[in-house]
This record gives sequence, structure tokens and C-alpha cells, in this order.
Amino acid sequence: MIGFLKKISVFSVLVISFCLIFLWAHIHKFESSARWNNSETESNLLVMSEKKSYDLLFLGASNARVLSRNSNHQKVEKSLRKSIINLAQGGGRGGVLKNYTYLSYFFKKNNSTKHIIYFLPPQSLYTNSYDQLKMDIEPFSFDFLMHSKKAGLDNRTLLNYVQSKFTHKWISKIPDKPNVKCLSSIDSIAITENIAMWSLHEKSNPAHFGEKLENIVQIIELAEEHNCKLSFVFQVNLMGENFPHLLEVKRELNKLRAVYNFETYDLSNEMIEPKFFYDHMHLNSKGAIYFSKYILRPILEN
Amino acid sequence: MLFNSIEFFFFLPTVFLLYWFVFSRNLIAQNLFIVATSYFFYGWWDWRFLSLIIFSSLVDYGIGIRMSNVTNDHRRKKLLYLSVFVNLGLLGFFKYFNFFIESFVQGFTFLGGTPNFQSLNVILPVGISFYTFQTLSYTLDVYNGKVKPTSNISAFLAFVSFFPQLVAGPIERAERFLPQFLKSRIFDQKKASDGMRQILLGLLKKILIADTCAPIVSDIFANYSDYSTPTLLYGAVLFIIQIYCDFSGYSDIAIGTGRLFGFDLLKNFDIPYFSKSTTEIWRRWHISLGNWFNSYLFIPIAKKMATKLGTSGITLGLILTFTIIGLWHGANWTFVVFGLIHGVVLSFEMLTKKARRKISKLTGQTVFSILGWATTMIIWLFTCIIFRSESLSSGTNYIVRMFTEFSIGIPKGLLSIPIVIIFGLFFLLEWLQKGKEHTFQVSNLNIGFRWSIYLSVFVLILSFGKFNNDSFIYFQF
Repeated sequence: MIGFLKKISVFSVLVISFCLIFLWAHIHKFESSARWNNSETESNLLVMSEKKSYDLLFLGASNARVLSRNSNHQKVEKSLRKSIINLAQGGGRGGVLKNYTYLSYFFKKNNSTKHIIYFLPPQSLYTNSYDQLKMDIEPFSFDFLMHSKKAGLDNRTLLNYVQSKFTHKWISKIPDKPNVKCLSSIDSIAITENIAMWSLHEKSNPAHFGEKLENIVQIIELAEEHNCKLSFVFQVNLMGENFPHLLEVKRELNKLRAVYNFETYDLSNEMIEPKFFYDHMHLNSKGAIYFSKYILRPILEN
Repeated sequence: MLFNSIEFFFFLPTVFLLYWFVFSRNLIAQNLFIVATSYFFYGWWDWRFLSLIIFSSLVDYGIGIRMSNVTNDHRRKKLLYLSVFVNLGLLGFFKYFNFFIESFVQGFTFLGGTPNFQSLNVILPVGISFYTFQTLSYTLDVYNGKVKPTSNISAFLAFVSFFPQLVAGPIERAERFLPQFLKSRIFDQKKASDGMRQILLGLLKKILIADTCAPIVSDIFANYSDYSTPTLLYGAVLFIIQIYCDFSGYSDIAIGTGRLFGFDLLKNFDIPYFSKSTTEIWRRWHISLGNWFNSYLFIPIAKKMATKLGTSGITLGLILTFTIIGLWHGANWTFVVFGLIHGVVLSFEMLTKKARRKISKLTGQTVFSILGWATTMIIWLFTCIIFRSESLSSGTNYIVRMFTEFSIGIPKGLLSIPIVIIFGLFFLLEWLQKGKEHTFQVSNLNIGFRWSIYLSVFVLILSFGKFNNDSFIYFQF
């Protein structure tokens, strides 16, 4: 028995040493690399620095991420005449808890912003799937790992985060070209299919609503604590009136407004021209610029 | 708790150390410890359904004892029927209630009736088909005089709930497995080391091969109407690799874990994809299930029917058994048809045994073997498409599209270099298993080489594996 345990222990030490050396090399590479900007990477940690100030901070999911992708970031900054950091995550990564995790880490690094705009997808309050796994995009940081644990991300997600660093795909440099794809017309079948997909149990489970609403409250309190203005925005889309859970989430936010100080804007029907979208949910490059210039800027100026 | 989860990574060493260092001096304590840890393992998923395992176990334990006190054959039979009724009743309610109600309603509606039956919102308890069959095997073996009824409740509860094989087998028969709980276990380093190697092999199959195939298979089967022949064929091939690596990977981890605790579990897979006939594939695929049905269903039925109908009776028995094996997998007509087709093919192979032997002499053994292997794999592939599909209609549409939507090439993103490497790795693992209990039985190699293999496998899993904690496919059965 002792011999067996010795062998297992030696092998474990070997494996752990291998992992630590690999992670050390990874951290070293990350530490020595230059900071990236939001249009170059989907990662938030690669963009996040320390003690930096921004005029605006974006939270949300892919429908906010498109404001930075495809070289849109600089153009949106120019249109709004403000410096922006975009912490929204695309690819099914933009859950409410993950947004809270990134925002609190942003403040932990002594950064600041005047105004937080959370482009809130209503369905993200009804699912855990946007808050689980898919942390592969971030470089390894022990500090961020511990912070994420404290923020409440589950063990599976944290394990996925660490393990993903042993793969060669963790860093994804996204295409730097404008997204010129555009819809020719509104496709009601595609909309119905999209809504049906969101209505699946794992994507539309009321059991998650309570905990996600708590995360929203955490974000509101965090903004208050750091003296930031906070706005929740229901982003422009072509899904029409049947957007899942929009009314319920608006109602809950209105209840919270009685207690906390923040703004809500329902822009979901503000842009209905298909040429500004590459699908029914996401703005293309032209749409992102138009949106920032003619929809978002007037709101910010008011 | 899943074998490929972080929780199990801490659970296993803790239980192992306590089992050998704290509870090893007393057999009852050791068995009770197995029971407690197994219930904990199962309850991690949903503690409410523990009551089903406990209830099933106590019923069969009680019936076993009662049978030992009864000599009247009629009363013994009644006790056996009670056990069958309770176990299959639970299985029937939790697994098949809605299926039968819905099929009944559909049938009546088709005939013009308007039946008013409501299906229920029943949750399927994980592994119910596995532990139900295991505990049922006890009363059947006691009734048949193959096992003496045990009064040792701790051993019996441990036999039913032993965590490595509780939720997805191998399904052990009381005759073979229960005696292992009645004698003290002594730590065997060779056995434990081999168990660790088999666990590593299981993780490699599950995390690297099965879980890499899984998203591609899901995509192709969910959107099969968008794809053409090469992609559909590719999806089907990936699925048979996925299901094999998923299930045999689970069995490897279960058997390896069992060996760490001094138990010998039944080998569940024996390179099935090298089979030269469908009969052979069923001797090599899910061996423990095949053995169970063979002993408790096919042989008794075939014996009875053969006396009345001769060979046709055996053929009918075979088709019936395989249809039930199909249904065992789940409450869907896709599984029934899967089993039915296999029953028919096996009957055909049984009836044409002599003719096929003559053909093999004419063609030569090698050509015959290659033809046999190709035919077997084609049948397996097509029946697995039905097995994997949501419904019979989507299964048949998938197959029809394979023959009608010809084009060249597979969409980018579905075929990648890692997938090609995985294909190669899969065949290499299978090839190396020939003549061995499992592929990583490498204790004869020198230690440096051995450890290099372990470390390489570990790195391979870490670098290319999918750590999404996907559940094992057979859990749903």
C-alpha cells in the first residue's frame, strides 16, 4: 500500500510541477505582452489595465460586443467622443454573473469610469448557460481566478478556465475588418426559430431569475459605490414585440428603480432597418456606427 | 457525481484512503462505508431518488430471506413475481409511463378515438435501469438456486449500490458479484496500479475522444436537413465512435475504480468494432447487459418456445429479447426499432450459419472476414443513426438524405486536424487492446517508458480534451 501511495504521489508531483511550470510560462508571456485594445481581442483581461479612467464602460453580451468588434471600437469612441472600455462578452459568455465578475475586477484594479452602460439581454436573467464555462478566452491570472471564485463563478467554470490555458487556442485575435454583412429583409421564420431556441428549458428557466436579479443588484451597488452613473439598455434588434422576457425584466428593473438610482432605456424598436444588422440580433459595422451616432449619443448628451 | 468532474477528483482519493486505512479491519464496517459513500455519490445528483435504491434493495433483501424459509415452489414463485413486479414496476413508472400513455393515445387517435389520458411530469432517476437489473438478478439467482440468500444486509446493500458501477454498469449478477462483498478484501498493489491505468484510459476515451466528437455529432443530427451525404456519413461515423468511447470509457473508469477497492467487475467491452458479424458485436458490446438478458430472458424464453415451435421458437425468442434490449435503452420507438432490427439480423445469422460457413470456404477466410466486418459495421452504423435520432421519422429522413443529397466535401469547422488525430488515436487504442483486458495493460514495460506514456496521455487530455463535464450518454438509460 505504501509503495502504491508513494508512486501515486511522485506521479502527482510530476504532473503538478508540469502544470505549474506551464502556467508560470503562460503568466510570464502574458505579463510581458503589450496591452491590447477592444477591437483586437475578445478577452477582457488583455485589455484591462490598472489605474486607468474611461468615460464609458460597456457591459452585456454579443449585442454590445459588436460595438467593438471589426475595428468598430475606435469608430464608436469617435462617434461618442468618449473613451470606452468594453467588457461585454460575446459567444454565449455574457451572463449577468460574469458581467458582475468583470466589473468588480475592473474596480479592484483601481480603474474608474464615469458611466456604465449595461446592454442587458433580458433572456440572460433566465439561464445559467451564459455564466458557465467558456472562460478560455482569458489569459491565466491567479488573481482573477481567486476573484472569480469569490464573485461566485462555479468550480466547473474555474476548472475550465485553468484547463483552457493548456491548449493552444486561448488567445483569439479577431478579424480586424469591418463587418459588412447585412440582412436583406426581416425573416419571420428565423425570428420564430430564435425565440423557440430561447424558450428551451435550459435557456428560459424561471428558477434562475432570483439569483440573476441579485447579480443585477450587485452591479447596481458596485456602480453606486464607485460613484458611476448606471444605465440599463435593451439593445436595438429586429426581433419585434415578442422578445422573450423583455416585459418581465423591464418590470423588475422598474421596481428596483424605486430603491436605487439608475436609468433604463428600451431601444429594442429604435432601429428597424435590416441593412444595419447582420442577423436579427446583431448590428453590423455600419449599424454600430449609426447606433452610436444617432441613438446612443443623444441619450448620453441628455 | 460524474467521473469526469472536479468533485470526483477529490471524492475518490478520500474514499480510497478511508476505505483502506480506517475501515479495512472490519468487513461490516467496510461494507457500510461503501454503502454510505455510494449513497453520497448518488445523492450528489439528487438525494430524493436514493429512496428508490434503498426501497428496491430492502424489498429484494427481504424476499431473498423469505425465499430461504419457504420450500413450497408455488410460494417461492409468488415471491419472485413480487420482486419482479416491484422492480419492473418502478422502472416502468419512472421510465416508460409517459411513453406508453403517449403511444396509446397516438394509437387510439389514429384509429379515430379520442382517449383522455394525461402524461405525467416524471423525472427519470439516473441509472435506474442499471441498479434495478442488478438487484433483480439477486432474487432471480436465489430462486434458481445459484446464490444462497444472504442475511448480511451491509454486504447486500453494498452489492446493489457499489458506486463505481451504480449508475451505468457494468450490470453485475448476484452470482458473480455478491460473494465479493462477503469476504474480506486485501489490498493488491498490482491490481490497484492496473486500476489506475484503466481509469486513465477511461478518461482519455471520454474527455478526449467522446467529448470532442459530441458537439459535431449534435450539430449534424440536429440540422441533418441542411447537410448532404458526406457530412451525414461523417456524423454517423463520429457518433458510433462517440457512443463507444463514452460508454466504454465509463466502464473503464468503473472497472478501474472497482479494482482500487479490491473488486473485480465484469469486462463490458471487448473491441466490438473489430467484429465480423452482428452476433459477434453483441458478444463484445455492453457484455454485462447481453449476459443479463441472455441468462434471465432469452434462455428461459427460447427453451419454452423451442419445445413448442422448434427453430422458429428460438428465432422469435431472439427477436423478442433484442426488442426488449432496445426498449431497455429508453422510452422511444427509435430504441425499439434499433433492437428489433438487431434481433432480426441475429436471427438471420443464426439461421444461415451453415450456408455462411460454406461461402467462407469458397471465398477464403480473409475475404469473408473483411466482407463480414464491412456488413456488420454498415448495419451498426445505420441502426445507430436511428438510435441517435430524436424520432423514427427524423432517423429515416437522415438515412434517406444520405442517399439522395449527394455533394462533395464536409463544411469547414466540422472537420479539423484534431478530429483526424482522434480518429487515428481511436483505432490505435482499439488495435492495441487486442488480447488484453484493456489497452493500458502495460505493466511489462520498463518504468520510464510506462511513466512517459502516462504523462503523455495526461498532457494529451489536458491540451485537447473537452472539460465541459458532459454527462455520460448511458446515464439517461
